Amino acid sequence: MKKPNVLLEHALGWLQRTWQQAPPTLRRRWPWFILGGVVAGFVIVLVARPEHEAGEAEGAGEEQPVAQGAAGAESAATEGEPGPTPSEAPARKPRVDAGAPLSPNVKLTFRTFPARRASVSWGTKRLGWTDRGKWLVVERPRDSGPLDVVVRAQDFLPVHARAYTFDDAFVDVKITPVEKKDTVYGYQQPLTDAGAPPPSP
Amino acid sequence: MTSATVLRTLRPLLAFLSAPSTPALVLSAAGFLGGCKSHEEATESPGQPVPSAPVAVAMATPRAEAAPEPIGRDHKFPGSVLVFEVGADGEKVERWLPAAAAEAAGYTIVDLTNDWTPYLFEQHLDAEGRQLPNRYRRVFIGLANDKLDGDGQPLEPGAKNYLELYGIFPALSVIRERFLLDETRTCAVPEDQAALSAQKVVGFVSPPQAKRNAARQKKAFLELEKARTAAKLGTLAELATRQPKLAAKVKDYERWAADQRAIAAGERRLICEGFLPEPAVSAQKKGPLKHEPGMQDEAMRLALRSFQQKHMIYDGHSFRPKTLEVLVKSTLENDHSALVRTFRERVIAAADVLEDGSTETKNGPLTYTSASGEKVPIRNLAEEYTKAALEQLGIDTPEGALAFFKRHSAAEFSDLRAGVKLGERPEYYAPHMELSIVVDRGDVWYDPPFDDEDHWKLQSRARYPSLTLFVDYRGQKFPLTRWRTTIGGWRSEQAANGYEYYKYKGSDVGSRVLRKVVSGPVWIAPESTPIRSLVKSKKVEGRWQNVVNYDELGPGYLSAYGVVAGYFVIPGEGDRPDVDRGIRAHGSSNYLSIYSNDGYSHGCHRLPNHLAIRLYDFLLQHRHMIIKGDAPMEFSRQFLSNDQVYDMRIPSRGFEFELDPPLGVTVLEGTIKGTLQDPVEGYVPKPGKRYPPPPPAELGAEGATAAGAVIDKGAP
Repeated sequence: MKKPNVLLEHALGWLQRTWQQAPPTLRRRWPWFILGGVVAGFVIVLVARPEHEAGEAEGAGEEQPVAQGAAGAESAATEGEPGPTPSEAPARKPRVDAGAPLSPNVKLTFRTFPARRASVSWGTKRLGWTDRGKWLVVERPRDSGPLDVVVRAQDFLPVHARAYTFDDAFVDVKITPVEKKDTVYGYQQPLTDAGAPPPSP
Repeated sequence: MTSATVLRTLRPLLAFLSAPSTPALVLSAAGFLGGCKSHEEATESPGQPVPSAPVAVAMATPRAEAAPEPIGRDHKFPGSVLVFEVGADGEKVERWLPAAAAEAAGYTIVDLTNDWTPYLFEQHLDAEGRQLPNRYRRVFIGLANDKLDGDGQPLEPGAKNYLELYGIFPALSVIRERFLLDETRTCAVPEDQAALSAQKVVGFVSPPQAKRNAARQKKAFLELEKARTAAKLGTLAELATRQPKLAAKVKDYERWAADQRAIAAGERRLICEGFLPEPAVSAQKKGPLKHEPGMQDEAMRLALRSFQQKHMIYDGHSFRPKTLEVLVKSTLENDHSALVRTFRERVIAAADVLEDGSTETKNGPLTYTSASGEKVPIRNLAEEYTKAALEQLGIDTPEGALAFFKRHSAAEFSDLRAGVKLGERPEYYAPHMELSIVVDRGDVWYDPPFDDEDHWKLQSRARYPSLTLFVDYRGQKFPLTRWRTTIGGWRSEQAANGYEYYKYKGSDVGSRVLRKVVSGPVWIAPESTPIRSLVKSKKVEGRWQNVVNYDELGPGYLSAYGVVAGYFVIPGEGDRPDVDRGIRAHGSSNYLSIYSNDGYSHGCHRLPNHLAIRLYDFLLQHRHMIIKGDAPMEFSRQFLSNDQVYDMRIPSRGFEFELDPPLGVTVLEGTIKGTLQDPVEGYVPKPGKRYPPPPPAELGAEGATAAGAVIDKGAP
């Protein structure tokens, strides 16, 4: 353990001698020189960075439709400005920060009104049941297209509803008792007689 | 010095470093100090950003004085643009330029990427630079790439979207796939081509009638053959000449036989292209999809419809003239036509032009007086620029296009852009153009289409409605485009008693303005919409089930408003809001009805989707406007159909733009035909239908639903 201490002492001695031999400006303003070095390093990395990284990042953004990359987007701030002259090629606007990425999935919460035990089916799949005090929560990939579901409860008319996957959402489904179907729009009152003759227009 | 102070000090420096032009400036400085790189080397370095200052200069310089032609690289690099240069041997060679250098050299950059959309569906930003999501953008791109269906869900394996007639053109990689497949599958048999080109049209004959005709003609043929043999003649034509009394029979038979040959040839072509199954497979099918050889049955109708949609043919779904013309061509020729159509939309978007020759008269193009006092014809810029771009890229022939697609892999179309040199745009172009729309209603009938005895009456029109976009330049008002459109007429409406009646849905006349444009618009069906049109059958997760017909509501290419709508309103005076009487000029999926004699709307002015896209893309880029973004809403309504409740939910009206100032619109009255000089108010019972008394009151007055929610009063 003795040898490392000797080496350390040598190194510190060398540093001390070098520091004392350094120009007075450097000794007075050393923090600025360190800062300058850091900035210079940053600039070198920025310049040497391959351009395709930016392209890849943009492509990756396209995978998330809601947070798609802004490449090629038109800035609203420039809308009122003159458009391109005949000689101009279309100019692309600079990219901006897309903000915090959205979660990849959305939560869809199904509830019936009035609250009853009801099945929620999506094609051949039964997504689950809702009940009094129990909601059905389904997770789906964000912006993966809508879910066309059928909600069925005993003694109620089946309801065809749609849940969108743009964002988390409550899907509140009003269910109507079978005997009250005449309260739903589109109920066709039965013909009681031969019907009125059509009047001439 | 605290860390906060250090950060504050560094912030401007970091901002400077993160600016897009900084690396270029640093490099420029490095180049200047180093002094050892030639201009050529600097231009050729792959991926090297081009200094921003020269680009800015070039953008403000007319094309004729553009920077000297840069020398491109022989391989693609990130951010590069494909251009064609003339090589040492005079042959065109592909070169790659940095985008900024291409722009500086006067190239217009045409976006050939798979993710291209019209301006309406681009990823827009708000004033703070935040993204404004457009709910339909992802679906639009997915449809163009044969990846998604209209709901945005994955397309079934092998399924194709043929949506050009609906305004969505295939992505270049989709067209590339067609070219590579059809290189070996021409589907063009000379005998079949002869049989098809011999006919101008093959009349539709229902299968039962076709069978009766076949039996009759078989009998006639035997008789004619007997006569020909007896007369010792070589052909039936000779027989007709020698025995004139048999001429009519021979002519009738030969016409029928020519039709049959054309049908058989068309059938073989549809099988070859995969629109009809092979006869052995077809024979095993049941129901309407079973096809009987030689019959114009439902399977044939559907196959022809798909063929027409693939090749953007505006024809009824039978062997109509335009369809026959395309059936005669080889698959590669047709693929090339698809490429030209797709390319045209890209070029129009890149050059921001609209003129398509639709204002030309039989005496040629209209003219305007230029600043120098010359009479200048209004050019067909869509065709002129497309032709120039195709030629420059060497894809103006099927062979050239095939070679192009062989040189460029499918993956390249994820970011492929091409530079083309286009002629100068006309002098009347400006950042903010004085544009206006005039809708001429043409011949208008207020009379019901049936008489007092319920007999249908033909209401012919000599002059059809048109929508014309005018530009006001130096005191002259001249048209840029003039397209056929629709006006309102007699439509079915559902009354509160659940029964359908007729109602006259007119198109407003007078001065209006166009203030709001919505991409991916949603039509909120009023309660008067017949319920039968609000339900459709759809395969959901492996099961066919009934759903609300969101296709009709949108957003989507089948929406009643098409893929884009502009709202005509009466401008409010002072602080009063605009008065919206529900009239829009919008795209339409019902492409055949727009061009038919009895094609009417509920009052709106419908355009084919691709023309509506072009129109609004142009207006938004040549007028001052504000991007408002997605217009969320919480709309839901239930209705009953066959003892099942349908819950209609609409989360957004679409993506809104506001023209500021709004665009002037004039709707001309047109010529009133028939007896009635004013529209009939209220419901009119349909001929031959029974109704319960008493006659119902109208629904949806002032745009309010039964639930009290204010709805969009528009009716397509």
